[in-house]
Amino acid sequence: MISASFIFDILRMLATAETPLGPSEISRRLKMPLSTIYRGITTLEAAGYAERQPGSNLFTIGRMGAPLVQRYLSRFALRDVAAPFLRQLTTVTGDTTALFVRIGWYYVRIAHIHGTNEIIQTRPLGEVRDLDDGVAGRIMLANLPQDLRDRYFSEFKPEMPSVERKRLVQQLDQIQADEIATEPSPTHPDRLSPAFAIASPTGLLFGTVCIEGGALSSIATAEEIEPLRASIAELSALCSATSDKFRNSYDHLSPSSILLPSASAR
Amino acid sequence: MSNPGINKATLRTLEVLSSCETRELPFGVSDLSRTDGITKNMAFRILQTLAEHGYLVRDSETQKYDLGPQILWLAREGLSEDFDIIKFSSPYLRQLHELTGESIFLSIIVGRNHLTIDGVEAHGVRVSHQPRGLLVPLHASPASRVLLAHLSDTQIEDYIAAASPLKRFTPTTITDPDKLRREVALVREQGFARGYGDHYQHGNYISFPVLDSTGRPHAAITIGGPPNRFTLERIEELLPSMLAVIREMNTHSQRFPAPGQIVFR
Repeated sequence: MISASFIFDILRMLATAETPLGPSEISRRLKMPLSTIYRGITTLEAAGYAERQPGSNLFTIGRMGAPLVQRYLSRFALRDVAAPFLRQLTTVTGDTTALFVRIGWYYVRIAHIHGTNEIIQTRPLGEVRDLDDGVAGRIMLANLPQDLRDRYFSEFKPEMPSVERKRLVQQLDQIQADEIATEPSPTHPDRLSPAFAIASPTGLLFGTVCIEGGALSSIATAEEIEPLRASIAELSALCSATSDKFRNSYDHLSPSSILLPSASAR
Repeated sequence: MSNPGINKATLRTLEVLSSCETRELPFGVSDLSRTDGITKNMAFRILQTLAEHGYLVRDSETQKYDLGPQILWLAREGLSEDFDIIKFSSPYLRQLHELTGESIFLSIIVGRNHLTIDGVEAHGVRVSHQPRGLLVPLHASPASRVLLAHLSDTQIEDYIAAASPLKRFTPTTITDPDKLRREVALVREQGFARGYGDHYQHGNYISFPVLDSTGRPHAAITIGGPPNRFTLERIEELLPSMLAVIREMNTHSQRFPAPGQIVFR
């Protein structure tokens, strides 16, 4: 077996560090000999996965990762089929429309179309968040089979206070019944940003779409919701027609076995 | 000269991971052995290592490897945005507007329809943008027909089957499938679609495709104007110049793959 394990530990440490790290600091954190860390860092640097800060012995994550993440996101067939519908929703609402998929207990932003209504800070492609953090994830959580939903709380969020968990479960039940999740718009507090599930009639969840602006008024009338829902329904039908292409590729893995760099506050 | 501080076996593993940026995915042990000139045993060990750490995932049926979710650890910033057809088209829309003085529209396929997503409007008397979000079936209007004509024959037949009976909007809307097939052949031959007043009767229109390298449509560009100004003669006169702009646009649009998953029900 190639002794690469510690290399990936160093890589992960560089990827999550807030500031550049030196070999001594990495050695201390990983509890590994400094000589081993030097060898690891040198190898990572040679391959482009670690980058030395000019004039120092400090390292950050290298540039080789970004194109790989780009390629990884492009592997989701859902992006291709959803792209025209994201564009349609952005055209109709003027808001940024984003597409997400579930990976384990997380959701990942895999595509977005920028709106023209407001200049707001859009979250980056490839961003990972916990399923209960935001409407795009909550509607995924609401659409999970009950046993998986229970496991989310017991295995992934055991520290969540029971009061908070109870409130969240009630909210998820409501989302499931309404087939829409909403949260206050980041730009217009009196308006709502909606999220919809892309799912088959049998409940197979392909992903979610979130319209990140104030597409809905605070009372969210049926006249406002239905045109958006119709677009998602058509996208869901297209995915359902060839569902094997769009189903979650990681269903064979235990969600708890997947650890991703979540941007959610923990 | 090789650096003695480098772990060569690990470096090779990382290089295989890097090669996934451009390598055909998914790939197997034999593929890696062949392309990288290494033994199958070495190829297997490299892939197994990357899969153990979640950077690759192995399909249990095909035994082939693809990028895995741990890749998401590798970039916290620096991801470039996806190809944006509006940003890409914007200078060409303006160029066509300056050339013709008329309104220019950009449309894409959404489901069984085209949707106009951007445009440059002419001043004074002009043809205008349709209501925001209006969907027009792919057999009606020149923008629709030019998009339809650049789908595969199978997709066109699927569209006809799914959309039949083809809806009539004006007396000149093509509702006969055979006539639509002949129109598709004509559009493919000449490289553009003329307006017949088959969706909207007030104005003269001509539509051109924006294609990727395999001939799939990114979008349609439509130039439209009032019939007393944007006359058929004026269109003929401007055609070579309009085609030159479209050709230049297509040279650049070919670098980006068009959405490929068009499925008609």
